[in-house]
Amino acid sequence: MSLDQLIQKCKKNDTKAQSDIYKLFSSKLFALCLKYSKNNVEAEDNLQDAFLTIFEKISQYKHKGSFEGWLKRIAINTALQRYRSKGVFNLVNEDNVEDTAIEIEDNDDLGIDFLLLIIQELPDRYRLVFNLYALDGYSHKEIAKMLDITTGTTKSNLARARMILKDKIENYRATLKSQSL
Amino acid sequence: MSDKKNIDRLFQEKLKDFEVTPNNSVWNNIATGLPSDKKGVKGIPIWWRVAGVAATLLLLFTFSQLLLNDKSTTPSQDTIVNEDSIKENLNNDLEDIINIENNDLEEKSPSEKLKLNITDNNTSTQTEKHNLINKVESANAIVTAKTQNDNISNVLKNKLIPSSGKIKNTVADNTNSNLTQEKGLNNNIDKAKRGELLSYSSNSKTEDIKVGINLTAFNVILNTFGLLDTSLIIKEDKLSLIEEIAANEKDLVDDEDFERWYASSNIAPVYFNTLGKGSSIHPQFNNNSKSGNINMSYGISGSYAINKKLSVRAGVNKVALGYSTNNVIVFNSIGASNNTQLLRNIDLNESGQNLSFISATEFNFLQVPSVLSHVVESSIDQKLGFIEIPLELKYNISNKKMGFNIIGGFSALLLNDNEIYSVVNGNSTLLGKATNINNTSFSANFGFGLDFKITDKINLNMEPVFKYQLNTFNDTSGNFKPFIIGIYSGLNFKF
Repeated sequence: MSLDQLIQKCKKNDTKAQSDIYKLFSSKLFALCLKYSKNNVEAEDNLQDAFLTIFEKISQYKHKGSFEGWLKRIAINTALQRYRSKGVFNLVNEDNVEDTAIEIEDNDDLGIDFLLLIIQELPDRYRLVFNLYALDGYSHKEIAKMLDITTGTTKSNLARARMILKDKIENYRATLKSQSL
Repeated sequence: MSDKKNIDRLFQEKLKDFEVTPNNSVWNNIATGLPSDKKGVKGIPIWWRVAGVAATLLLLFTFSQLLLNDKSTTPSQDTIVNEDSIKENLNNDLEDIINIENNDLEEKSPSEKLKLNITDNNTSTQTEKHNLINKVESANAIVTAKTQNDNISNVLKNKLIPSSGKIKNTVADNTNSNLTQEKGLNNNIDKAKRGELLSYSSNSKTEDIKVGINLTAFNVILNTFGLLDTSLIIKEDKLSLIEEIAANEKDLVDDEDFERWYASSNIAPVYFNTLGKGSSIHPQFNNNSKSGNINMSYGISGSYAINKKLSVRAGVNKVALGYSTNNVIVFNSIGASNNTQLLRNIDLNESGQNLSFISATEFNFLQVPSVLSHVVESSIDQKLGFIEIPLELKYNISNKKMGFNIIGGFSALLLNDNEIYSVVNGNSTLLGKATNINNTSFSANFGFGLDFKITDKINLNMEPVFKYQLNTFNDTSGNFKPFIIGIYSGLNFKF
């Protein structure tokens, strides 16, 4: 059965089709949720809420653009919604840091698990900004609107997120090095 | 072995194909939270189902209103991106694309350079390219490529700079005219080459945003599909997100801009009868004809609009009901011992004690005993009065000059009047009261409503409503299924 047929069936609340859609996309969306959440439990909650929204609003999907893109946007929005309700975005603005590109050596020693962990360990807003900008291609302007903060703050948050990630990677490498000695 | 790499790029590449299968319990939780498409359980009367749905909806909405009230009062938080910023972003993105192309064209071998980028990017394998192309097509993006003429790179450079400026200023316009201009400028370019138009369009509910880019002359564009498509798809995704948000915003704005509270008065002729053959008085009257009486109902109600479409209302009505059981033979039976048994569900008063009642349908005329030949055929009228407390949902289907609504819900009926009369030749005699009517009972209600606007604050409405009484009588015989039809009319006051 094609994806379009599955979507049509989901629009009629067909349980089997919903289950199939879940099977097709849950791994990708769960990975996305993991990146936007601070731990697995929160990511599972987000995934669950996102799929409920997806099946509730699937009749609004007009086949414009990729279905997967639509699903991802809902998952991202669900994650943001959680922090929005927690008021995470209303933090006092910290001193702005210049948004500079940070270079780092890539020598294939970094596993996905480690990278995911250090993303999850970022402070909530840094994590969201880094994900939205670096991994999902949103502009600072869009992120600022989404999180209801200024572009100055998003740029500063992004720079800080990058610095934290860089430090953690370097510490990790230093530890690895000292262990191997 | 180890190159310095932008940290963003490092994460992008590592997490590009990152997938994790979630725990099974997640799906179980989702499945239990999903609405089911299963048909109603066989055997449950339709009115129970309708009433059940109405009641569930009512509960859900009441609770969701309480729980979600905070969120609904902060619509600005849902505003993620507005259209102006989209346009700006599109402008910026398009300029970026143009700049990329422009820079590349300054070099002698742009396609090689771009190919390198693409390979480096690891995102444009052949299949992905193919998919991306399909996606672009499906998004109504038209990409036509022109083969490159090496001689034109200088011309391009000159043209691309002004064209980016144009694009910026004409985002909301159809840029066909630009295309024509560009074509004019391109006269010196080999005629075999086609002008390419890269246009990305997306229909927004409120505005048709059309972006057209004239990027004259590169077959490079085909090679850069990877790059362009990615940016297009991101934009496409963003645009649909924006549409959704715009729609939400519209809803939110709409939601804020209407009256939530109404007070209404209503008056209605109500018709009471039974759907099946049966009797609330005595089994012997099951087959007698019943004629419903038309009485009055009047009352007041208040309603709260949950959103523009749905409102919930409650009220108090005083309603009188009655029906006649026809073809009853009534005769004086002083001394008869079993007269009360003849009317099982009636507690007879003194005047009724001396009368006996027999259904005329039990006899045909030839068999009428002589002792009854002089008796009078009459009817038994049952009169009921209730205080009705309706709790109903009203769903608006059309709200133009005349509003059209569907109404569903429950009423609680509190008995406050209960009389049985014998009517002989137009004279009615109070016989007593029925013993089988519950003091509190319920009805399932379903109807339609028409609203006519009189002033901004006042509506005239008319609502034919069918009310199926669920448990008004507790000891009926035959298939006695009482119902009420009322044509309620009244005035709605907004405040």
